Amino acid sequence: MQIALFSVTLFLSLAIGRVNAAELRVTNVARPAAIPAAMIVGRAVCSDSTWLLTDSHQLTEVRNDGQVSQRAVTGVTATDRLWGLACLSDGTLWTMVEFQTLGRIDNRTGRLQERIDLHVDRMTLYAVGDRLLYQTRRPVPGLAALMTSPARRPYAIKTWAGLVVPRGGNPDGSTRMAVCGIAVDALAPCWFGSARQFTISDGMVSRTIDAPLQSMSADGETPIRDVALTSSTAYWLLAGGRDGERGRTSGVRLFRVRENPSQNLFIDLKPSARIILSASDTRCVLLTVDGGLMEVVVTP
Amino acid sequence: MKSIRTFRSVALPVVFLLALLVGDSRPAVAEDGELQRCQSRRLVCYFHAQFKDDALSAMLAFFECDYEHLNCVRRHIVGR
Repeated sequence: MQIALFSVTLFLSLAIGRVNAAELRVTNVARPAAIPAAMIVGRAVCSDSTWLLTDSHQLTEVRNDGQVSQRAVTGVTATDRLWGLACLSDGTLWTMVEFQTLGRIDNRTGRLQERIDLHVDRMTLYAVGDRLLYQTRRPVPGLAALMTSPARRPYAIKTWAGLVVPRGGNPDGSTRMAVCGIAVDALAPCWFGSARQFTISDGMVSRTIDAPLQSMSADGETPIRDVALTSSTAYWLLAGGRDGERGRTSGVRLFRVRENPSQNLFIDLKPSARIILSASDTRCVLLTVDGGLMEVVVTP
Repeated sequence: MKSIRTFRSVALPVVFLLALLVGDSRPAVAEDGELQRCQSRRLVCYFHAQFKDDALSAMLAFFECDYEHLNCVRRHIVGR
């Protein structure tokens, strides 16, 4: 009996040790010239590429093979202020031209091709499957913060279960501004600006996850900078904090979390990161603050 | 009436100076306390809006302040 118990204990110790032996490592940092330093106002993940939109109306494509290309968004007027970027399952790219106007960008030419008048303000824009995921301007406390609609049928609205607008606080403040990360299949991770937890939802069923920020001094205003789901139980999380070298906040620590079997890995990023570009179960590509592409992998 | 004119002539330049100092002179990249900066800019904007010539202009100016504030918060929270 004692030998059996010892054997089991030894086996478990080895197993746990094997799990804990995994770590995150930076394997590649490329510095393509084409990624602009301007503020990123939208990110969209399509099947072969991740697209970034900046407030200077530049559209950047980062292909999954690492190639980067850039084009200016054309067809915009002097009063247009593009915000948000969403890639639907049919490959079309959408942005908010103004608070009440949706626009489609031709991803080959960068030209703004379509404008759809919404008659209602939308603050943020994301995508899940064939629907746009967005937040209206005046979220109602106690109700769902996010909604979905097809791009060309803006009134076919469904509420998105998950984030519920908190009661109290500044109506236009960070506690009510929803942010969404990279979705997988029909699941999207979303959180409020200053929250330390996020929800994973398919629009009908959701669950809330505490971000693993206990071990660090996270930024109070944007503790979660980005989340990329890789399955219903695994994700990468970019945590915000003060970048001592640059004297401003950015993504300073990258977590990779699996829930089953439980595994929580992290790496401190130097240089720090602006946003996640793509992620798989064992690999994550980030855009660093100095314009580089950083690849982080899980090593056994 | 004269006191109102005097108030405008003194207050508005001060408000503009404050707006420049607190707001637009700082870099667009988000920094700590950016949300407070957004709120300060909105208050300055509101203050300015109430000096519009008529009620409609004032109301539109207030709406514009709200949009600017929303954009400011959005840049900080969602922009990267």
